[in-house]
Amino acid sequence: MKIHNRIALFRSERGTSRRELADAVDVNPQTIGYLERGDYNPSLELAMKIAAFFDVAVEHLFSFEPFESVAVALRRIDAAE
Amino acid sequence: MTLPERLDDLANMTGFPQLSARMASGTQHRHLRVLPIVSLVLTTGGLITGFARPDLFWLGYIVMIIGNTIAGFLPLFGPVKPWGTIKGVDERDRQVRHDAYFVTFGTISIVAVIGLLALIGVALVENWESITLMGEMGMFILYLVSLWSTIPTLHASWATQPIEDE
Repeated sequence: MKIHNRIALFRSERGTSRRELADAVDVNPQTIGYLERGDYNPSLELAMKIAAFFDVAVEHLFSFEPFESVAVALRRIDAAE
Repeated sequence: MTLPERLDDLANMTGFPQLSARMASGTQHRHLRVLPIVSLVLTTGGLITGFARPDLFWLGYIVMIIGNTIAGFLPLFGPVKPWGTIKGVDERDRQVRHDAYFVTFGTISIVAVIGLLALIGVALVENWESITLMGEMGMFILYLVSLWSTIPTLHASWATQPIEDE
């Protein structure tokens, strides 16, 4: 089963490079690339390490359902206001 | 310049220290999509030539050796990090290696059974001498050894698209 993630979004927001994140969670930078592209599903340990790095809950980073895009979320918030 | 420094320079000129450093860091491993196919074509062509035309055995053997030589370099530069490598191997590398060798073991098993049956069949039909059969069997073993190097690289290189550098 494919696991969707928002690693690229969080990384971009924090200005973190692939290598910095990879070094922090003890994997190769390429592995971060494969995770972001959805070509590789992380182990529970790696998922929790990445979530801890960004200081968020695992479910904020990983989901079985596709995440809402930022544009859609902004439109939804505007409509609610 | 002292003698040890000169010797260091000579060693560096060979390129092996740089290669060792890249191997230790794991940065020399790349997707190799064409080379495994070239190796596979050469070794398979050599094997078929040797099987079909025992009079051209040495031609087939030389072609197979060329393919086998290429196959020998694939584990050094391909995406599958060799067994026993610890430094620079993460959970995805282990998964890639597991999948690649799982496919390889299956492929070698099937090829070995088919090849042995073909060897026996052709030897009986063509009434090969024992020396011919021994040569063909040696060639077939060499083919299986080359598959051991080729298939993991082939599988891992085509299973995913390479990741571009940031």
